[in-house]
Amino acid sequence: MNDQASDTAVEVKDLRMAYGKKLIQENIGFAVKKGSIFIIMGGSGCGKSTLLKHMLGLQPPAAGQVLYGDTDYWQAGVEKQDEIRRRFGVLFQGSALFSTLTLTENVMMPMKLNGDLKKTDGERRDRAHELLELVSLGHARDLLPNEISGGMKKRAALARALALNPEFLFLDEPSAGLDPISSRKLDDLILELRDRTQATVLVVTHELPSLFAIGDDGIFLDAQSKQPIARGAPKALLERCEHPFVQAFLNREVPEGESANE
Amino acid sequence: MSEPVAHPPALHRHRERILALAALGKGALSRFESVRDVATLLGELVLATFALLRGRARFDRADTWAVVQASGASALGVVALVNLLVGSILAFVGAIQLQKFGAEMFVADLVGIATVREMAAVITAVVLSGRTGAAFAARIATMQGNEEIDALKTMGVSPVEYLVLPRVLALTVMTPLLYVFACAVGLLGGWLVAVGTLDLSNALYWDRTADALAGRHFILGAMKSFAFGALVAFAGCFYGLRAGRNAAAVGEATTSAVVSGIVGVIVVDAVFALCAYALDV
Repeated sequence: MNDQASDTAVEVKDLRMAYGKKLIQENIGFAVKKGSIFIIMGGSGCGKSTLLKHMLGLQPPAAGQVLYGDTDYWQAGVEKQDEIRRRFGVLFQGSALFSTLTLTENVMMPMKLNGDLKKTDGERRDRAHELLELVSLGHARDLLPNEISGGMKKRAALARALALNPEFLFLDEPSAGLDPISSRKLDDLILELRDRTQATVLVVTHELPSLFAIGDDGIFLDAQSKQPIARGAPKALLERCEHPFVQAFLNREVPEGESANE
Repeated sequence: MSEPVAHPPALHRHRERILALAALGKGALSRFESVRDVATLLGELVLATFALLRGRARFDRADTWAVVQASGASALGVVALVNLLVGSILAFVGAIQLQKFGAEMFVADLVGIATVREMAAVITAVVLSGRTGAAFAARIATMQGNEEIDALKTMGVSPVEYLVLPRVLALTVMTPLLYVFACAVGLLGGWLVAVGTLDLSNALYWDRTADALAGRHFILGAMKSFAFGALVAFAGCFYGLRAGRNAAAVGEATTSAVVSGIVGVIVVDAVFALCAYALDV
C-alpha cells in the first residue's frame, strides 16, 4: 500500500465538476504513477480541459480532492499552493505565449519569476536557448509568437513549460491544429522529454494517433452519463473495453443509434 | 393539431410579476457579485502592495517602466491639447459674462481657480480613462483570452502583482505629474484668450491669477488627481481581468473600463466637492 502511495504522483478523489448548477462530471477518481504519461480522453465538451484546470489550480472543483503527495491542493494555504504550482510545467491549448516577448524571453519568464535568483540574466538566456534548441527552435529564438506557425508556438510553449525542470507536465490538446507530421514529431518529443526528465505527464487529447502513441494510462470521460466510463491505457481500452461509446470513439466510428448528421 | 391553451389574464399578470421579480433578483445578485469582485481585487491589491514594500512582489521592471512611459510622457500631447482648449473655453465664457458687469479682470480668477481646483484634474483623468484605462483593459483582456493570465498563475505568479500593481502604481504616480502640467497649459490657454480678446495686460492677468490661487487649491487638485489616477487604472485592470474569452470580450472590457472610469471620476469629484465645502477649503 505504501509502495503504491509513494509511486503515485498525483491522485484525484471523488471529484465533481460543475458550472453553477450545471453538472459537468462527477465520481472522478484516479491516481497517476510517477513518470507515466496519463491521458484524459473523451468527446468534445465532456469536461477534459475543466478537469485539467481543477488539477492545475486554476478553477476550484464543486467537490472532491486533488492530492499532490499528501496535500490536497484545494485545502492547502496560498503559499503551499504556490509551492505546488512551481512544480508544474503547462502547455496550454492556445500555447499562451506572451505576445510581446520573443521566444527566448518567453522561455526565460518562469526562470525570472521563480527560478534560482543566483542565476544571472545571461545564464537564464543560455538555458532558454538550450531549451529552444531541444524543441528545434534555435533558429527562431528572437522571433515574436505572431511571427511563427502554430506548430512552432506549441514547441516554444513546451520549451517554456520545461524551463523549471517540472515534476508535472500538463499538456492541453498538444497536437490540436497541427498537421500529421508535426503532430507525430511533437508526440516523439513528449516521449523523449518524459524519458529524459522523468516528469509525470498529463495530457488532454482526443487525437487518436497521439493518445495511442504516448499514453501509458488514462481515463475516459463521457458527456452523456457525466462520469468516467473507462480507465486504462488507450491501447488496452481499444482491445478490451466493451463500452460501445469507448469502442466507437477509439475506432473512429459513429456510435450505434446515432446518425452521421447528429 | 391542438390549439394553444389560452391563459386567463389574471394568471398571465401573475406570471409577468414573477418574471419581473426574478429579473430584479438576478440584477441585484449580479450587482452584489460585482461589488464582491471589486472588494476582492482591492484586497489583493493591498496585499500585493505590502509584498512590494517587503521586496517580495514579482513583476517585470522593464514592463513597469514601459507602463510609466505610456501613461505619462506619451500622454503629454493629448493632455496639453485638451487642457489648453478647456482653459481657453473657460476664458471665453468668463469674458463674455464678466464684460457685462465691467469685471473683465476677474477672468484670471475664474480661469485660475476653475483650472487648478477642478478642470485640470477632471479633464486629465477623463483623457487618461479613454486612453490609458482603455489600453490597460484591452491588454489584460487580450491576455485573458490568450490564456496568458492562466500561464502566469500556473507559474505561481499572482496576476495582481504582475499586471495590476505596476499599472495602478504607474498611473497613481503619473496622474498628479500630468495634473501639474495640465494646470500650466490650462492657465496658458486662459491667458491667450483673455489677453487676446479683453483689454488686459499680461502683468495684470498674471497678478490676478497669483492672487486668486491659494495653496489649498493646488493641494485639493493634486489630491483629486492622485485618487483619479488610482481609480482609472483600477477600473481598466478590473474589467480586463473580468473579461470573457470570446472575440467580443476585449471590446466589452474596454467600453466598461472607460465608462466606469469616467463616471467614477465624476462621482469622486462630487465627493471631493462636498468634503471641501464641509471643510470650508
